[in-house]
Amino acid sequence: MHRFLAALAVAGAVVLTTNAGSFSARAADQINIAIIVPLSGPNASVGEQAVNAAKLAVADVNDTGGIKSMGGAKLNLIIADATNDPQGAINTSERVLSQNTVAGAYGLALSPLTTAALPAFVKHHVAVITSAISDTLVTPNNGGYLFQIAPKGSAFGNQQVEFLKFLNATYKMGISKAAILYVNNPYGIATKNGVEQLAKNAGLEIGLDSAYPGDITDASPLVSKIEQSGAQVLFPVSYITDSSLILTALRSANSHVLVIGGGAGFIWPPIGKSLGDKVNGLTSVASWNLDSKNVVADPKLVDVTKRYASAYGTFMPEQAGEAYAGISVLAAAIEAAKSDDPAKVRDALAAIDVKSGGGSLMQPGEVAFDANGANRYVQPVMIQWQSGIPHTVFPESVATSKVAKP
Amino acid sequence: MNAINVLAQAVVNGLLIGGVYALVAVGLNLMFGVMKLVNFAHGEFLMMGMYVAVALAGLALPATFLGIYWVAVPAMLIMAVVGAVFYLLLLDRAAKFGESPQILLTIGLSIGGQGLAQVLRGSDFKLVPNPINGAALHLGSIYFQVGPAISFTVAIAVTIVMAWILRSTRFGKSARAVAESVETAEMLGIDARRVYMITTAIAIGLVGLAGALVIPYHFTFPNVGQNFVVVAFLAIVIAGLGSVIGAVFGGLLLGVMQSLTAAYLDIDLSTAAIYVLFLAVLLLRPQGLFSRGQRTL
Repeated sequence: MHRFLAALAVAGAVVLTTNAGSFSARAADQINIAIIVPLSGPNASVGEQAVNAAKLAVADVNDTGGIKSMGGAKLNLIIADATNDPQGAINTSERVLSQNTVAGAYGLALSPLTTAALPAFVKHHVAVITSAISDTLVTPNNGGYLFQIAPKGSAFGNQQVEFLKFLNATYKMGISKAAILYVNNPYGIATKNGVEQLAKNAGLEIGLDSAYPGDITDASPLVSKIEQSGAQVLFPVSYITDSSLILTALRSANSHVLVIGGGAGFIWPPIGKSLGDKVNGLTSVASWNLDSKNVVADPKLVDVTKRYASAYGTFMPEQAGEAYAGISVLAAAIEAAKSDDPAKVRDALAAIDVKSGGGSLMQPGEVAFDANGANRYVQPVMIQWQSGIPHTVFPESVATSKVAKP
Repeated sequence: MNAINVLAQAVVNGLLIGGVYALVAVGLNLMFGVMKLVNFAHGEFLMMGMYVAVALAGLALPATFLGIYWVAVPAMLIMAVVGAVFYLLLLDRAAKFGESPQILLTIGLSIGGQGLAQVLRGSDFKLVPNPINGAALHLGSIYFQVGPAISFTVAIAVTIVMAWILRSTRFGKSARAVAESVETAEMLGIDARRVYMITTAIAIGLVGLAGALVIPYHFTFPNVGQNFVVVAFLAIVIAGLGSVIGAVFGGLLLGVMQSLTAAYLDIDLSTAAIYVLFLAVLLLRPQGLFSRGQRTL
């Protein structure tokens, strides 16, 4: 009994510690940077992927001499749980930023959390690089402290539609009617808006346009609606559980609708593990992929993906790639600022143009931000699962594999 | 699909997912019926059952058609033991301080259980590759997903067995006596604590069974219990607190309601629809649709 209670108490303490973040004291020879991502709740795996890659990026910076313009000062990564709740993200951000001197931060990962917590970063004058994709994050009203390393949500739709046009042209698929399913949150809505407008512009008829709650336990009703709509292609914007349910229900219904996934759940390792060989051929848009042309062209970047796979037992997924690039860009900004003053780091980020090093992991190998904090160069990529791993197949400027007819 | 097929497919989809809700709800309502305890950690026991089943499935045979289901009985038995231990170590001791500490204990276990699972098993989504996932039986243009269909069948079988146990066995009669009046039952020589322990073991064993039946087609992760148990809670309130058979009807009713709402209105309204029904039942028939106004095991 006592041991059980003690185990519970230890587990609780671990969880509470994770929630509170590790508020280590700042030594003179180290520079604090923070990663604040969901580490509990249904999106904890997103945060774990990012934290794993961030640790790798920080180790790489420190192992190669630290921040040289500051006498080789080492980066100290403060890890904190943004939870899965906007209020939790606000509380954690406020706590981390008020109890530590932080040069800059990475994280939040999800658009609702980023939207909610951003005022805390503005208040403390600390820049945050995010992988959240909502278009509404990068506007003149964001306070100037947000830098979006990932493509905008609307760009995902563009790439999906362009990919469909490519498939139609290459394989004479004759697809003219589409269905759009999206999880009902800012990420889903932003991506869906992009797909819908561009699909219409491309002459596609939208047979179904439907939101669904993120905690569905059965996707059969969604699949029935797709079948009723007569759609030939499905653009789903989903997380991992719902994407699996949708794919499963489509198989059950013997549906022949072409699926062009909206990223997230369609490209993360669990979907590959769960579907086994059946995942091969599935296509999706992605913020980042491990074998885009800029990665394959640089042996050091390939080595990063290999070390991640070796350390964590899975290929380097989207959120991890973005986190590695984001932390590397933040380190480059501190290097350029020659200071850990967050305001100076913010200014350095606004002016940065990264063309080499860890930041160039982000396609197309260059990162710079516009006046609203959007990444000037990045475009989503299209992946296709081949041999159990996502391969970059579109657009040709970054593709390293040929697309197999889905 | 014509209108009849659309309706038939929606009803089939609803009944099949409703079977899963029912299987989760049965144990929940059994504990309430006998012990007057709302177990807020029920979802976390479902999650634990899924992790146990995933671990067992990793040992052998997950790639065969029915091989994935060999884990169901061992998972149920392991979780039944967990339930008995849960009662003896925690619920029984908390009971000395009244009902509120027991309820607070289950709330604490719910929160702590998710954290503990994340610490012990990580936040990764786990699904054992198996041939059930995506398999379906087709009758004309109507299809039945095999995994949920098996869950539905087992839910019906479990309900029949539970009804028989409660009506015809010595334990069942004791449980019904305790449910009516603990004091009177104890005066008649019934060991109420033993009844409570067995009830908890059965309830947690059943949710372990539910977990094992769900793993072929649903990811396992620390928060997975919440996806099912919220509907199960609504099902037992709508059906009638304490009614085991009602819990099954409640689960099936909510599954069908969700599916019909998705088919004819909007899938985004499917959750809202069951809450509307929930509120309507609370206002118009607060004892539940299948209850006679008292606890009816």
